[in-house]
Parts: sequence; structure tokens; C-alpha cells
Amino acid sequence: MAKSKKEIIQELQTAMCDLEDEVVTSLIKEGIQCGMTTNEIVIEGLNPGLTIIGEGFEKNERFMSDLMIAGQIMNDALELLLPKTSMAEAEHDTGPRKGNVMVIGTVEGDLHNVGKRIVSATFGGAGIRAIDIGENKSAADFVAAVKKYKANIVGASAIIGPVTPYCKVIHNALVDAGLRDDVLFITGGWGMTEEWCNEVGADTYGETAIEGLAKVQKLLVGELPRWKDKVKKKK
Amino acid sequence: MLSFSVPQKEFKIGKITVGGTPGKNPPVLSGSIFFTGHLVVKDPEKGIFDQDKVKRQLEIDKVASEQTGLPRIIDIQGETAEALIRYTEFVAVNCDDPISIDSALPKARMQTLEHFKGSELIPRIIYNSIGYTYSEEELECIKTCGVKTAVVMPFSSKTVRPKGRIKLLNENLLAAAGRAGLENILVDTGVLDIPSISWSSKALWEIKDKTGLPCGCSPLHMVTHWEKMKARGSPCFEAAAATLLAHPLISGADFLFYGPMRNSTWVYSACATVAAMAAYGETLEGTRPISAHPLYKIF
Repeated sequence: MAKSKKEIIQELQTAMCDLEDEVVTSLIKEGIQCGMTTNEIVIEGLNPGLTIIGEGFEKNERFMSDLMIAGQIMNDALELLLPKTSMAEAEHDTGPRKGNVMVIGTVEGDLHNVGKRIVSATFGGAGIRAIDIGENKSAADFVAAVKKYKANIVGASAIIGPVTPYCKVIHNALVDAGLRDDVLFITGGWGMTEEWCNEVGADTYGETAIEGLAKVQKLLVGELPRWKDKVKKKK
Repeated sequence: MLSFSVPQKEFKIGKITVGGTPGKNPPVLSGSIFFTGHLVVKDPEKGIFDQDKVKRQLEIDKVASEQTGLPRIIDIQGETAEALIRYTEFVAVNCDDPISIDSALPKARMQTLEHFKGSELIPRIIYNSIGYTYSEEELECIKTCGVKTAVVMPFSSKTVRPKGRIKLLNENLLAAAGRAGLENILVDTGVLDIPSISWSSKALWEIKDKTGLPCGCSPLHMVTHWEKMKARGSPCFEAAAATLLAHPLISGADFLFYGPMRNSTWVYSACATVAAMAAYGETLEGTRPISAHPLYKIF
């Protein structure tokens, strides 16, 4: 007997929590067959499981591997469900931006991608289209991506020490291109602080993907000050 | 004690041997110098450093190696080719052990190899590392420069579970290593955090079981972020950290990258003890360790 939507949602939550990637894939296919929407599968089904893992990580009950696998499961789910929201579709999207769009990349000189994928998956699960532009990306690459995908959020990942100052280069490039006022600029990576974030011109930073998402959501509705407001206040 | 389905390969890199039948050869340790934040480095772009301090550190590491019978590789980390070259030239003159050329930036690694191409240092050089983001240009450079040893790292955000790492190695990286003309492949299974060292150990056991290749990892990779244990101070912290080294060794690790060389004294002691016990265990299977093994050095 076919499962109900409610059952599938319940099982998705459990499967995500248990990091059962094959079960998740199978359930997604079942969900599609019984007419479930992407939002039902992702937001109601997978995201609660991802949130539980994220919260467990904050409490040191789940660990980095769990987070990465969960991020990958979410990524794979989004690719399965939303093939048209991949970069390929974004390439052909000539109309105005629909919803919130983030371009995210690892900065020039850095090849790490783990955190960035988790962030992409977490933001994707919250309905923010995350377009991953890849690793070792220059400021010009970020600017080009913002223009191409009509992004209103820019995420810069900088893990290794020597490259974290490059975030300031990205900020400056966005300013020079006349884009900075139209985008939220968020940074992430080991050892970032509020002070450093202000120094490089970022609106906020996230020590974890979930923290970053919460801050961006607040920024989007004006509940947190943006960098330009903080700078004005200081003057 | 340790039993694998295929014979275990043994590679000679410069003056050291890595791999082989469990219990015969001691595991190899590799301490890092010139890493980001290393206080001996004055200019990380140009590679200017305190030569006396580095010499002393190399000497302390050498003594630990000789006292315990654990061979060593010097892991040189650098942010630019200019720095890597300077560091390598210095280390090459001050010791005769194999040298791992280690940088997050492939270009820096490649330019360093180009610099030493044709030199007598090449047989001692280990390219660290070939990961899933390798380029054909990188493989061609390794081949052209005549480097025969490399660390291959089958780890990515998509291959966190041990089975994923094995798949990445077998379906992609081994072939890439072949195209690079490599003869001595050292598989580093990668370490994400402390609890998952067990996953890294499982991966290395399974890779050894299927391929016979020498395997290892960097179990102390995240230890400096272990705030809860650091807060307990010495010797709690070192005792706990030592167990991180033991886990992969008991699973058969042939080498370990142990992080900053300043930790050499306790690292070598811990690893030698585990290696000695493991080797004595293998005598039940009829394998005798070599005469220079820690089993005959530390008791």
C-alpha cells in the first residue's frame, strides 16, 4: 500500500537524522510519485532532520562527519528534486530574480569546499537558492556571479589562515562594481570573529551553517544591522 | 593479529622503508615545520625563518626517531613556491630523510618540484598530496619532474564514510597516480575530527586489505581545537592525544603525519610503544620485526 504524505515526511525526518542516504533517495522518489511538492519534501521532511543534526553538533552530540554527510544528503536531494535550479537553469534564467539567491564560493587560494557545501545545503533547505561557484575564486569571479545569477547574497568561504584577508578584496570588488549595497555579504571559516567580519566589510559571519542562516534571515528582514549601518553608527 | 587479504607492499623512499608485512617494519612518523603560524617563520611569502631554531627542532626530532626506532619524513609546509623552495633547500642540507612537499596550493607544490627537477633531491621528495581536485597539469608535472612518491588522499565532502574513500581511491585516484608515473603511493585516508579517527582507521584497514598499499593519516589534525581536553592541562591532554595516534596504528597504519614537530618527544614515545606491542603480537603469526624496530629499542 502506498504511503501517505505524512508517513513519507516522518520517514524522511528519521532517515535524515540517521544519515540513511539511500533511504532518503528512495523516499524522495516515493514522494514525487505521490505528488509531494519540493517544499514538503525538503522543508517539512529533510530540514527538521538536518536541524536536529545541526543542533546536536552545537551540543557536541553529533560530529563533523554527521554534518558533512547530512549536507551531502541534502545536496543530493536538492539535485534530485530541483534539477532546474542548478546552475544550468540559472544560466538560462533571464527574468528578474525569484526569491533569495546566494552565490557562494571558496576564496582565491583556498580549495576547501566542505563548509561551503554544508552552507549551500542548509540555505537551500531554507528556501534560499544557493549557487556554488566553486573553489579558488577571485573577487572578479564573485562579482561576475552576482551579476549573472542576480544574487542578493554573497557567501565567501575562507578556511586557511593566509587567505581570509581576501574577503576584504571581495568586499572592495563588490563596492567598485556598484553591487555592495544590493547584496548581503556573509563570510565563514575557521577562526572568524565579529571584529574581523567588520574589518573586512562583511555584513555577518557564521561559525556554523545554521548560525549563518539565522543571521542572514534576520538581515533580510532588517532585524540585524548591515555592515554599512554599523560603519555609519561608528562615525 | 592484523590480517589482510592481499600481500602488503613495501616501498623504499630514500633511506627509509614504509609498509610491508604487519609487524616487520616500524611505522614512519612525519612532523611538520613552517606550517601557518609556526613561530620560526618570519616571512611566510618569502620563506624567511629562524634557521637556528629549525636546526634544533630537526635535531630533537632526529634524536626521538633514533631513540625509538621510528623512521621519519620531514613534512615541509609552505604558502608560496618561493617559501617552499627555501625551506626545502635548508632541510635537505640539514638532514638526509625524505621530504614531503606540502602546501594547500597545487601551484606552489608544482613550482617547487620544477625547481628541484633533475637534482639529487628528487628521490627523497614526496609530493603531498594528490586529492580529488587534482589536475592533469599537476600529474604531468609530477611525471616530468621524475618524482616517484606521493601521498594520495581519497577524501572529499562526498566521501566521508570509509566505503566512499575506498571508492574514490579505486575509481579515480589510483589511475591518476598511474598517469603521474608514481611508483610509491602512500594513501592518507584523511581525518575530519577526533571522533572520526575511527572512520579514518577503518578506511585505512580496508584500503590495505584491498590494495596492499601503505596507508596512514593525520590523527592529530584537529587536536589543537580540542578545547575541553586542553583545559584539563598536561599531562591529561598529551595522554589523550597519544591515544589518537594509537588508534590508526592498531588498525595497521604504516605512517602518521603528527603535526607540529615540537610535539616529537611525546609523539615518538607513544607511537613506538604501540608499534612495539603490535609487532610483538605479530610474532604469534610468525613475523619478526627488523632489528631496528622500536620493540628492540624502548625496553
